[in-house]
Amino acid sequence: MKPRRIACLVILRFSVEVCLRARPALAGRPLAIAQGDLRREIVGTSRDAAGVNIGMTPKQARAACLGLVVLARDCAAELGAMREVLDALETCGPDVEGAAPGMCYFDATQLPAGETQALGRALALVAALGFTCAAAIADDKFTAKCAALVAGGGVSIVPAGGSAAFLAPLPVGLLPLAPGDGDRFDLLGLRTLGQIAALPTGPLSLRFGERARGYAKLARGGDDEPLQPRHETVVHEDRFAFDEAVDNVEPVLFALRGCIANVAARLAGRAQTCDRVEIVLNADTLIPVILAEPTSSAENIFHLARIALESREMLESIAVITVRAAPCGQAPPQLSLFDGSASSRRAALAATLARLRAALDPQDIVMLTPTPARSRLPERMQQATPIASPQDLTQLKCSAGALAPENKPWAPALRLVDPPKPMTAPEQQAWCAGPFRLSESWWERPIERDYYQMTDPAGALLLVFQDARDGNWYLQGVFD
Amino acid sequence: MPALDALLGPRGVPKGQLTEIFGSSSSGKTTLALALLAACTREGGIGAYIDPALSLFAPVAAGAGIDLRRIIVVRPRDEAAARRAVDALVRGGACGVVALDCGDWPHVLQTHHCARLVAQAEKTGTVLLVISGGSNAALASFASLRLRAHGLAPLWQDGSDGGRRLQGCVATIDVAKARSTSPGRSVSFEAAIPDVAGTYVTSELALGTLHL
Repeated sequence: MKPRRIACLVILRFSVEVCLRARPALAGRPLAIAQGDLRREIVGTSRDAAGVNIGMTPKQARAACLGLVVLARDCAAELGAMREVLDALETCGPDVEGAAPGMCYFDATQLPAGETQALGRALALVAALGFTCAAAIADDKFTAKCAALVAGGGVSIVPAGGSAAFLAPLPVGLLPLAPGDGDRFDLLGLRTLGQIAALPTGPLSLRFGERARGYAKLARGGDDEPLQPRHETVVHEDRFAFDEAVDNVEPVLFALRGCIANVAARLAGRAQTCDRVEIVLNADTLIPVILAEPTSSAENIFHLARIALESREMLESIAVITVRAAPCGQAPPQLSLFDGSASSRRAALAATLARLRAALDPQDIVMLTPTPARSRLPERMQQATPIASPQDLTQLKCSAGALAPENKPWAPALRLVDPPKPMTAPEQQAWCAGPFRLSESWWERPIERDYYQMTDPAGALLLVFQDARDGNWYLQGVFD
Repeated sequence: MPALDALLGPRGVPKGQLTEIFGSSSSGKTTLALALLAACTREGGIGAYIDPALSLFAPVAAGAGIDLRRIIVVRPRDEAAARRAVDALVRGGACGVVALDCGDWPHVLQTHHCARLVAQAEKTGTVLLVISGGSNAALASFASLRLRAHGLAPLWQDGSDGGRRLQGCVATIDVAKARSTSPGRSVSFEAAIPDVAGTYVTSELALGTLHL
């Protein structure tokens, strides 16, 4: 088996190049790219921006370089440019990875044309898109990246098995160092990768902890991180056309099961999952099916799709049925072996909510939240939020202190009467506590209430109030 | 409620069966139901409360120990919707406790509804809890545990300023029907009424200890 070879392409000054593609009139002028809407930090400079460094503020940068033009970073344009580059590089190797803006890898193992010619072709492809880049081939990703960075706009090929020797004279700063580690290496007199590679791992770990193992591995040319090839997002779709339009749910379900099985098989074949499936009837009626968790299980998807379809009051004549699923991530490998119970619980929750949504108005299925900061009036002290998706419940984690402690003193529940119900003025009686004045909204529509706790003639313990504005009495709640 | 645990024995509230908590207005039955939902969410389960009267008060429920983010609250607009909701919740099997507050609809569940729901609850292991006035014979027949709430007896206290405060109340609950314990046994709880106006624990909310 031949050792793997990985090619790395680094587009120099990528942010600047992307901006120049959009505004070619700025070519030749000193240019700097600032991060974010507020443009508070310089993240890229052109060759002409002498004296401007990464990390400066725009004001500092303009002071350092007269005539400097500062532009905001265009992340969307960078993404688009990277996509073009990756599309082009797919002609060079089967697996292409976009690692970072302006940096990409592709598999260079057993290239038929040879490594030098392959890199030359890659450079030509990228140059055709308007970018200047450096390229290198090595045994691992880290060595290839270092070789490309030090190539200075040319091509570098590290021979197979020569990674450690190649890396040895390079500076420590090429490592992905944690904050502060660079200074500590400098204090220890360790300035090249070769010096770190030569040290035993034990003493290094004593000073740098678990990170030292990673540093040493990279410095010795032992980076074993695999390529993570990009997967173009493809919406999986399957259709079924009936010979004649049907208006019965049974044949529709039969066709639906087949379509979902095909879509799920395509998802599983690409190790993908989806969290939402769309069923389109006759190309104009869209039925969304929201899953509790990303899955490629045809059974789970069909179960929810069936509930959604059967809940429809009228089923029009259907000639064509289409199922669409957009992948939302990669399937965790063999998760069911370790998390089977939780997975089935989430599936059951999704089915339950789907049934509820089918049986009731979705606005009637809610989650309550106390909102004491909003108001002190009992009827305004809570908020009902419709449960839009099963994730609303399954992704929640209990935070410490969110709940009353288990040994909390028992207190009677109050059954709220919302809106407060008018009642006749209670007779003067011995067993009554209050008034407790509650005032609110004095700045717009003043509310003045005098609350009382009292028992009614039947013995029920009530919370009532007298509205100071009109003098009427209202029932606010019943202790139960 | 340790006293209630002792009353019900080791089996407690039976899973997969119907439990009825009944009593007149202001008898303490809602408090008992909230305590069961709190136990469910405390164990990481999801509960459901079918609330046709919109009477569930979130600050009080949170104060009772319920993690409201794990409670599905359903607010049906008619009796048929309430039956559909309880059927969907019990059949789904995702909820450990499904509480149906009969409220103004004492006969929302008839014999055939109860039979179907109990059969579904047995399959899914859901605790089906019905809060009622105690006048529904079908519920009484199908419930394997019936708890009667006798009423909240207020404890008034005269203040030094001449005013009066509601210091607390005493609730009494007895077992009207059970398979795991002797009917007729009862237990009483003494409870402190929360602060000001009695609506919620003002001090906790003001101090921000409820981070919901």
